Amino acid sequence: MRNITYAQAIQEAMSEEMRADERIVFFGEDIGVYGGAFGVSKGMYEEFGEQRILDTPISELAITGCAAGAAMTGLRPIVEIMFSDFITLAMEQLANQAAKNRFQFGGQASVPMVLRTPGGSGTGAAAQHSQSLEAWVAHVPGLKVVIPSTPYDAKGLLKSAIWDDNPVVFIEQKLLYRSKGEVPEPDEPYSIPLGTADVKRAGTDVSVITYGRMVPRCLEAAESLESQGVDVEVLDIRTLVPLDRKSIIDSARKTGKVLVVHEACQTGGFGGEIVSTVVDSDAFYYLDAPVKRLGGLDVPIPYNPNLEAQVVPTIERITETIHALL
Amino acid sequence: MPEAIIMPKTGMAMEEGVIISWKVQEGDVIQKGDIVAEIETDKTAMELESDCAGTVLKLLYQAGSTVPVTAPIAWVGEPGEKIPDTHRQESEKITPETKAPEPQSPAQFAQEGKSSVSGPGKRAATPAARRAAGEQHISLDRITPSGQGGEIRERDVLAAARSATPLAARMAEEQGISIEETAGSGHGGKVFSSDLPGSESIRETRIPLTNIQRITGERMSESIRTIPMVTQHMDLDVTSFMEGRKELNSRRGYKLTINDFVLFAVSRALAEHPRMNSVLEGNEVICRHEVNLGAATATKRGLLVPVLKGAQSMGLLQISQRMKKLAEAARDGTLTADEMSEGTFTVSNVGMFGITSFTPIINPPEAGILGICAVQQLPRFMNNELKQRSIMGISLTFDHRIMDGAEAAEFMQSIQGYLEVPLSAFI
Repeated sequence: MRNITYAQAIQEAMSEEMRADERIVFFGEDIGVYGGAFGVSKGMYEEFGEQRILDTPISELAITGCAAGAAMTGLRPIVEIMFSDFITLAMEQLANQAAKNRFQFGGQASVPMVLRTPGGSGTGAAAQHSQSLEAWVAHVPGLKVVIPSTPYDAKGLLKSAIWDDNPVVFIEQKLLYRSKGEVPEPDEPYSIPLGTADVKRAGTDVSVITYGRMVPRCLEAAESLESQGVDVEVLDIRTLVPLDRKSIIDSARKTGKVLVVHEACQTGGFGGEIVSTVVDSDAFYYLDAPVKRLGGLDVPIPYNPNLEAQVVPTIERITETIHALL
Repeated sequence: MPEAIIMPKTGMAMEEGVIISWKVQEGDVIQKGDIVAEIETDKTAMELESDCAGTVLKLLYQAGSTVPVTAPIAWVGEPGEKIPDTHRQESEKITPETKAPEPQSPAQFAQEGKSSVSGPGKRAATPAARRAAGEQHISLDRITPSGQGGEIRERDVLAAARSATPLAARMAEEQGISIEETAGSGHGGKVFSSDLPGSESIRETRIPLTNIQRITGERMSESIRTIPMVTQHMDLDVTSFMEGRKELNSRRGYKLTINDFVLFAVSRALAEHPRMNSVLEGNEVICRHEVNLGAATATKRGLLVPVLKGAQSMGLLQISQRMKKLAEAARDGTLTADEMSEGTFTVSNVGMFGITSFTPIINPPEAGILGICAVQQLPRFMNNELKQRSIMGISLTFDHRIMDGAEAAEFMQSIQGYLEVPLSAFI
């Protein structure tokens, strides 16, 4: 094991699979010569060349439609949308074509593409470059949705996404790109199946169910609560679609108290689905407090950094909400 | 379709009006333009005219009620017509002073982060607390909540469960006894059911003995305390007897029971063994020449022993008929004192219950008691061959002061003789 960054882990996953299979191609805005807006694909253009690493014009719709078509005709494309906010522009190809084609052709076609895109706030990039839109795509049947929280998970999940025959929306976390974590050596291949949650911290008093950037934040909150004698479990769902409902139910049943945390706006957020999963199961009978959600405020992400920091769940609010459950 | 008479809106600012009095009753037939009520608006009192005709089906408010403008206050239509459903909610407003508690808005809930959950009526409890309460048979009503909003948590139920056993908790709930105020005798003051005041009446039902049961009990206690009694069991092969009885009954139309034959055999055997038909008085055994045969009979009031007097000189039919009458009288409660006294020996038949042997207790001052047990179909060796035979057990208890085991066995053998070889009765 060695410590590498989240961004490096993603790059390794892509490069290792591209070396192994030439059907894998990668395109997006400034991903080639420039190495990507967040430097994820640095050096890949030099290694794989312009035939497989394509810099595209600024049209998310075209990039995504191109990937869907390439996937249906034999390639396994990876595309990068520079900011997840611009999925909105790609939505027609993503929701109406990529997600539907396998079903509408009766299974005769498949769309093995991965749409990688960074989401989340915290970089001072303001309202149009800071959103968390995972609930938009999770609501479209046919799309798989992955949000890794560690370098290890990012590499393992991206490999599974590349080899999945369905379109996978792989939402990376801007603020985690530079975070480091243990990842096996390149000659130790591994992958993480989609649809498996991970207990990042086992505990008995409260289950905090979360994903993405909020995972390290919830772990920090759990650490601070440990000194107060509160044993918090942190469950990272890792993939929204498919959702590992069993792990959610098991954890809720175990602790009887559930807090769901995500950065995305609370109203209509994916947390509602997690809460429903809990209360609609036999874990209901083990609930010993109302199931709580803690999402972002229902406002566009402000440019002002002080306000920006306050619109998403903070460690203080996470800790307070856990206290309210006890 | 019924038509509504509504609270009129007589001015732009009018929001509600008061029904001062009704001028019609339910069931009245009214015409368009009839005065149906006197109402008070924000400015004046006025008469309300109906703008429809028909039968007054329902007055939705009592006089004195305040009603929002344009809300229906009465329905007019054909008799028997169904009134639209809205009137039900409206009618709940009949008593104007009754105000429903204001529901807490979701916004309030969200803002406070917790519900104000205590209050009258249903107890606020988490699903886990309700499940635990169900499992522990504890009523939520007697649990002290510790939740931040006053709700009952699972830990509160478990704490309550620790303070009392499930049985004690259930009994306390049924009896309206407070567990908290009951001193527990268990570890950490845990309340057991026996700690509850008046717990006996909860765990038990007390049934007084009938006079017969009391007297029987006293006699049986005295008997077993004072008489050195021994019980001997014997199996009788009654195969041919059973066949003979069946043949006799079918040929002659009798309904002679096994018991009748046993009583007959016992009456004869007792005549042959006078010490079994005796009374011990001091150092003397008084043998009676009369065989007064008692037959233990279960009745609703208790065990009765009607006595068949002079059985030694009765024939089988006579024993059967007389015994039948006595048993009926015992069950009906019409036995005379004379019919229950002066017994010299008792027979107790439990064969109909499938009992194969038992230890009857002597009915003092008698010398013995014979128990008749069930007739079973059992394999028996007959001349080295295994055969299916009808086997009846008899259990004889005797007073060892009056006779010893060998003598008692001879008495049993006499009975055996009569029942195994019925023809011996002719000898």
